Amino acid sequence: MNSLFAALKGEYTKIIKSKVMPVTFAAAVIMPAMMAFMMFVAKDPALAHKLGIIGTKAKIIGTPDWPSFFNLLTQSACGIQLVIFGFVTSWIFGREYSDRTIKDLLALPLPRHAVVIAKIIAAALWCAALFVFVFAAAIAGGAAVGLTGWNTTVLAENFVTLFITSLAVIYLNSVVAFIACASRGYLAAVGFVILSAILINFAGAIGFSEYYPWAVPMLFAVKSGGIAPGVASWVIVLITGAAGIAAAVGWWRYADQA
Amino acid sequence: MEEIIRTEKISKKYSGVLAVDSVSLNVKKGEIYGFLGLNGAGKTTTIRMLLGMIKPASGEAYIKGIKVDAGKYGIWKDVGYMVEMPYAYPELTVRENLEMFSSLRGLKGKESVDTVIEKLRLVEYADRKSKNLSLGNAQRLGLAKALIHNPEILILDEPANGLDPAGIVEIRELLTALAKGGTAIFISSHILNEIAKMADRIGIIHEGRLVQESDFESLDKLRYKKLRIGVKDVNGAMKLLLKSGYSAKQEDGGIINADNDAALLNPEKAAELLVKAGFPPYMLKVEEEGLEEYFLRIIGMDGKKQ
Repeated sequence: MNSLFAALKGEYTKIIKSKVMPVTFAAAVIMPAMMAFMMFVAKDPALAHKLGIIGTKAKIIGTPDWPSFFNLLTQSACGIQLVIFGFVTSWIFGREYSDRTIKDLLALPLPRHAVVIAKIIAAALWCAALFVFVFAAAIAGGAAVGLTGWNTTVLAENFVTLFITSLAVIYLNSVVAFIACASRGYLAAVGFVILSAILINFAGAIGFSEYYPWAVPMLFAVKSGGIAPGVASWVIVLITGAAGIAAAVGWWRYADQA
Repeated sequence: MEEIIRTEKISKKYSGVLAVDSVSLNVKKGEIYGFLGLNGAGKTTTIRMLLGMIKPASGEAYIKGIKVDAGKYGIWKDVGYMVEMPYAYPELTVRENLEMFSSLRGLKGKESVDTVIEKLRLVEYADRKSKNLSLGNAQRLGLAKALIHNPEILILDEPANGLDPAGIVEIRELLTALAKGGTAIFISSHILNEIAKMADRIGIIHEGRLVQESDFESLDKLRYKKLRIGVKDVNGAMKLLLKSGYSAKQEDGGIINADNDAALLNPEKAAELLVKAGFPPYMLKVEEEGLEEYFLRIIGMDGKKQ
């Protein structure tokens, strides 16, 4: 336990001192800011007309009120979570190879899995903080625009939905962690994140969304085409995440760290 | 004396090429073992196997009698190490980097950090981000990480890299003092002269094989010596020396070399012989092979460029 705490403390120091953390928060806030802007445009048809395409899109949103805003947030957040959370995990694991600091973590009087688990926990906490920040930023944006129809039940429902999708994405990122380790850097892992996001559309096109782990959180949030993930889908997510954790821990323990 | 570090016929293969071939060595308590080899000779691969970072294809490594294995992390409590270039977390200061490793090593309080900062003369740079350190100070930080827990065993890969001459002397004195205090030190380098100043024993690795292992007393005997004689009448002197039993050879520039015992042990007698025969030498000098020359001769690269 002391080993895990020491490793977590180390990860905290590295994250808090890095420039990457504020960058991820800045990137994450773009989406709620854009949504709030679109709501603002939707509220003012004259301005919408002047803005051309943005105005046209803004009209699609429909009624500029809190329920529409939360629905839009839930639909948009899944994809953003996949990319930003994936980037966070890629960086936490990949930077040890890119900065060539990995060797300093391999012959310490603590089990190597403590470092891996600490990194997974650190990534999860960072992503959770991003989720809370984005949700809070969305509420602040909506309030600033002066949306009407505040509904606490809708807010709670969307919060819970997004919280569950966040947890699922964070859990699936263990695969990203393994790829960052196996490829000895974060580039391949970021590439994998982008590919896994692109494949969501492909899985949907061929009707396999329910069985493609990275599509499951999105299906759950959006319930696209009335498809909701069943037990089999969640079991696939569970197995994929567990395989990612086992592979990352196994890589640190058994692979040659040349 | 107690063997602290030991390898038994340790080998490693990369893509079918033997990077390390059946290397057996040992380092005793309080000993400095210099591990010499050219770049790519297999030094770092051996060190990585000693530290459990890579698994040997065959053979074993032992630290204090315990077989090295990534799962036996308890053995690293007494080991300090630095592999290749010393990289640190660039956005953390020297102190923050050291505090993190102090914590990861289970050390309590900040005393160990303060002490090692002082010992490695990093006080002035303690609050500087490691990305802004010079190569020499980055090297000091790497050594500080290795020394922070006062280890019984030190495994250092090219620790003098990037240090200025004063820094090299300072680190040499520090390591010598640690060895006197009982620390077993395994130090790799491609600079024989530097190793010669502190190591008790050396091992020379070339193309993955340990081609020679000896202490420095034996090394002195193994180094090639020759008597160099300068005379005006080279041909006359050569004939005389050969007739008198000297193994005389003429080198470029007209200097005569003799390397048999009679010449090396009693050079004055060779001089007397030459003077009496009317070939007075203007130069008479016993020359010992330099350490670098010896090293290159042992690995079969004397006279060849790398």
